[in-house]
Formats: sequence, structure tokens, C-alpha cells
Amino acid sequence: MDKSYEIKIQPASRITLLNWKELSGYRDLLLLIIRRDFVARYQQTILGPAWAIVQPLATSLVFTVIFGKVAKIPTDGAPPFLFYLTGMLFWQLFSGSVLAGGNSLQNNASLFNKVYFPRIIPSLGTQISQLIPFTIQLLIYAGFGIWYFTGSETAVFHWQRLLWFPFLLILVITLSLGISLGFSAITAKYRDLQHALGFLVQLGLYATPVIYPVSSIAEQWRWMVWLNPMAAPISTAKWMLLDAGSAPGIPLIFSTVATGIILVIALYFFQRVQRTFIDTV
Amino acid sequence: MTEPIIEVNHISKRYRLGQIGAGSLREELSAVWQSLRGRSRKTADKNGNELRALDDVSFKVKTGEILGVIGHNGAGKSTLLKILSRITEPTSGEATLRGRVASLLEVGTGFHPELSGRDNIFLSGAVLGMSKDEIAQKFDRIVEFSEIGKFINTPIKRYSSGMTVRLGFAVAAHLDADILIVDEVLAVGDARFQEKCLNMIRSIQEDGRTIIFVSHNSSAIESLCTRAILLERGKIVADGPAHQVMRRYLQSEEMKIDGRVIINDGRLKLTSFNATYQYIDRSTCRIEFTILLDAKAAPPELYIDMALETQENVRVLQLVSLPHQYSAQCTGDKPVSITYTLECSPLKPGDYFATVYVHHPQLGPLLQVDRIKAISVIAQADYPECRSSGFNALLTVPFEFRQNHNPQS
Repeated sequence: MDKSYEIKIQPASRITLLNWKELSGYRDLLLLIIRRDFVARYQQTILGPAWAIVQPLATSLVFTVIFGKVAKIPTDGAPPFLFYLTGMLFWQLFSGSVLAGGNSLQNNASLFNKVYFPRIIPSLGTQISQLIPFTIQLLIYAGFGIWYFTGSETAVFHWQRLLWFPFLLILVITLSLGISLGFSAITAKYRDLQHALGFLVQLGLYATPVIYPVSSIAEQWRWMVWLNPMAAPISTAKWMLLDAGSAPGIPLIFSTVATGIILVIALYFFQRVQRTFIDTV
Repeated sequence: MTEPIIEVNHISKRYRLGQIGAGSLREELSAVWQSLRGRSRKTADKNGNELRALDDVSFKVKTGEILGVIGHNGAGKSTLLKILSRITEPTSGEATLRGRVASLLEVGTGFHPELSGRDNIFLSGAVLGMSKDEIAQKFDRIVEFSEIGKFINTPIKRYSSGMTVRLGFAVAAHLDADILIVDEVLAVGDARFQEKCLNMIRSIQEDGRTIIFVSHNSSAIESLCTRAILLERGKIVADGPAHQVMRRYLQSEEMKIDGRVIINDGRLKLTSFNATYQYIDRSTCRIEFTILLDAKAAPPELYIDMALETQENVRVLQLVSLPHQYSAQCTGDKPVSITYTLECSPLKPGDYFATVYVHHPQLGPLLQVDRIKAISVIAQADYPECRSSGFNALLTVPFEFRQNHNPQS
């Protein structure tokens, strides 16, 4: 008999944050769940994944009119439309993941009630699925970027700064995974909080320097902005892509550390709740 | 092979009743507030607000065994399945499963309505624990088994419910697990589907794989399982050969309250009711009813009648004892036990309920108990007509078919 299939069932004495060995056995399921989410979302649509570009473009356009032309909020010398679009590119990656994944235990309860597989799989799937619209947005963004930098005589694109891109991407994905898992653990127990999720994400947009530069905040209050772990990656992205403002050093380190802590704590609670949450559904 | 493939040691599962259905932040906060004011939450638990769904359950299953799990609703069957399928954790105790486990607690686990049949085969297969390569390898056989044919690329939301069930079942039938945990929900559906399901279980049995099968269906348990355990209020109260345990189940305590007492003048009590249904051939089945009456205060002579009805209250049989002078003698110190045996045409698959009437020529009716769950008839391979969806007659009878030549107009 194959020993490797031996399963022990007992009340967990300690919580394993991630069981890599087990997860790797469910690779195929993860890929199929990503595929399911993708196909199901764009079934019977005209534009399909192209919808991904409509929202950031439209919002950026609205922001350009309202905050740029009417409220005249400065953009650190960058063209307002690109300034908002840069912020929205990363903000949407974050908010999209959290909105789609912040209720994963509840959303998959009927499936979890019938079969066992690692409960984190749908959350991971949601997170990876978000890279599909992100990639499309990035391509459109690149188009606008090329158009701006070739058309402008003064603007200089700093290629070497693109080295930061993978780091920012991983940081934002990790943070949204952490927040999603944490929220899933909370909403599994306190179901009323799932109504708060959309609202909190919406508020988060204004707490994050997407439509305003950090430099527009008075010096003595800036630390409050940096407490938000999404603030530093978005400011860094604007510096990296548009040379707007300066690179936040210490805030980015803080954000990285905070993201790590959030992920570990969220994983801990998620794993604790998932073991028996089906009893309370 | 000395090690049992499944070993369950002292598994208990407790639910705090207060916790079920709770889960609003406000309630939790008020509980915290209470504890801050010195009123411990624990007091509530001590007051017996605890449900023991499973209480110190231990058993072993050998490779190749088909273990039936029986018990009344709420006896802990589903909880046991959920723990063995790792859907939830036990409160204490441990279980060891030595092999690949697949749990079939519903048909079409993991199906998504927007996806095509093809995609859903892969998705459901992966959810149930198959790898992509394994599914790809068996794909053609699954499609063939499901009889979906050209609709395989259509989203399953356009399927009829029968097609969806067939597809889900086809995936389940091709799982390669060493241990299968099967819930009776698999045995619902039309007769033809039931038969397919039972045939699948038989073929798995022939492969020497191990199955845990939960069911109310006595004939299914008796014909499929090599062994059965009976759960009552979270405890194992019987463990042994399937037919013995089934008999015990049918006589078990809760059976008494299974029916509806319509008339009871207090002299008699129906303490047990047992029915068996045996399919013999296309024109014959044998039914046996055994009833046990507590008759301490009863008159010395009783007439006991029986009736059998379908789920929809259609009366199938009525056994009247008075015209035949079939009377039961009561001595008062012993319970009265009566067995009726009869043969008739095979019944349509489904659940049947019995009514017991006890009366006395002078005293009139003494006891009437309605809707006693009596027998479940499952489909048999050799009467094909009940497999067609249009068949809804109670009886199947063999018949001859002949075309008359030169009909007179």
C-alpha cells in the first residue's frame, strides 16, 4: 500500500500556515479554478476580458476632469491622466483581488461542504486570475506611456527604474492576498461584515495616494498616509513610471514589512477558521 | 495486509448549540460584554447547550470491505462522513485513512453552470482529487458513460437535470480512489440511474476497493454491504454483518415513533415493525411483515390488519385477517409477534409505508398506526420498463405481445 497517501484526521494541535507539499498536489485544481473563474466571468459577453480596460480608463478620465480640471489637485508635474491611470493600474489590482477574494470561504461554502481540498486554493486562484485583467491594462497603459514620452520633449523615461516593477507587483499581490484571507476568515464568522467589504475598499481608494500626490499632504501628517501599506507601492509606481515625486524609501520598507506581517496573521486566522467553519455555515 | 485501511479511534464531535447560527458581530460583542461584566460564557455551555453528534466512535475497515452506515436522521451519519472526508474536524479522537480517498456526497461536485460539459468534467474530476492527466486519459470513457454525446461542448446550464446528474455521475464512476465515501444522495434520481449507481458500487467492490456507504435504503445496504454499523445518538450500537445490523436498525427504539399513531386506547403498543422485500423474478416478489405488540393489557383475542401504501398515499395492498379467522391469541405476559408473508408482482421502485390496525370483534378498534416506513424497493436489472421515464405504474407484470394477422375491420 502506498504510504504517501496515508491521511491522519485529528483535531489540529497546531496550525500550519501553508502546507506546500499538499498544495503542490492540487496544482491542477488551482489551474482549473482559475480557468473556471475566467470562462465564467466572460461567458456571454461581447468584449470579454477587454472590459478590464474600460473601468480604469473611464475612472481616470473622470478623475482628470474632476480632480485635475475642477479641483486642480497637483500631480507632481506628471500629466494628470497618466498620473491617475498609473495609480488606478495598481489600485485596481489590489481592489479587484480583495473584492473577489475577500469572501472566499462563504462563497465556496457549498463546495467545501461536500469535498475536501485545501481551502486556500480558491483564494490563490482569485489572486492569480487578477493578473489577467492587469496584463491587459498594462498593455493599454504602455500604449499611453509611449504616446506621452515620445510626444513630450522634456519628459525622460527612466528604464532602469523598471527593475522595481516585479517587486511592486509581488508586494501588491501579497498584500491583497493577505487582506483577502483575513477578510475571508472574518466574514466566515461574522457574516454581516461582508457588506462592509465593498465600502471599505471604496474608502481605501481615497486613503491611498491614487488621485493626489503625497507631496500635497502637509509634512506633519504624511506619516498617516504611509501607515496605509498601499500608499508606498502606488507612490513608487508613479515615481518609477512617470518620474512624479520622489521614491519613498522608508515607507516602502515599512509597507513591505507590514505586508509580510499582515499575510502571516491573516494566514493564521484563515487556517484556524477554515478547519471547522463548515459547522457554522 | 494486516493494517486496516480505515482506522477510527474514539472520534467525537461536539457542537456548541449556541454557536450554530450565531456569527453576527453584535452577538459576539454582547458575549464579550457579558464576560467583561463577570458573567462567563462558559456557564451557557455547562447548562448542556452542547450537541454530541458523534460520541466516542471507533471502528476498523479492512481493504475491500463495503461498510454500510445506518441510523436515523440526526444519529451522526453525515457528521461521520464529513469527518472522514475531512470536510470538518473531530473535536477529539483520530482517524487514519491509508489510501486515496474520494468522497461522493453529491452528484456533480464542483460543477459550474457556465462551463461546458468538457470543462466541468475536468473541474469536477480535479475537485474530487484526480490529476489533469488522469482525467484526460479517462475523458472519452467518461463522456461515453454519461451519454451526453454532442452536447459535451455546451454549457451545462443548458442541460436537463438528468443530463447534469449523468455527467456528474460519470465523473464519479471513474475515480481511482482506494477508499470511496458515498452518501445515499447518490441513490436518488430515476430508477435507471439508481441501478447504474448500484452497479458502479458493485464493480468497485469487484476491484477490491473499500467503500463506506451511508443509506436508509435497507435493500441497498443488505445487497451491497458486507458489513454495517448502526449509529444511534452519535454512538455505534451495532456492528456486524449487514443483514443483522439492518434487522437491529429496523427494530431499534426510534422505529416506534416512526409511524403516526391514529388510534390508541392504551391497551396495546406497537413495539417493533419489520418488513422485507425480496425480488424473485419478473412476476414475483416476496414481502414479509413482522410486527411486535406489547399486549399486557390486551383482550385475549386480537385481529390485526395491515396495509401498504406508496409515498403518495396510494394503497397497494391490504391484508385483512377477520374473514380468514386469522386471530392472534394474547396471554398477557408475552408480547404478540405476527408475521405476514405474501407474494405478488414486483413493486415499482420507491419507498412504501405500512399501516397497522388492531381490533377486537366486540371492543372495536384498539390501535391504528399510519405511515410506518416499511420498505424501499430498488430497481432491478431484469425489468427494463421501470427504467423508462414514462413508467409510473405500481406493478410490473410480464406480458406477451403478438400482432394479430388478418384483423377484421
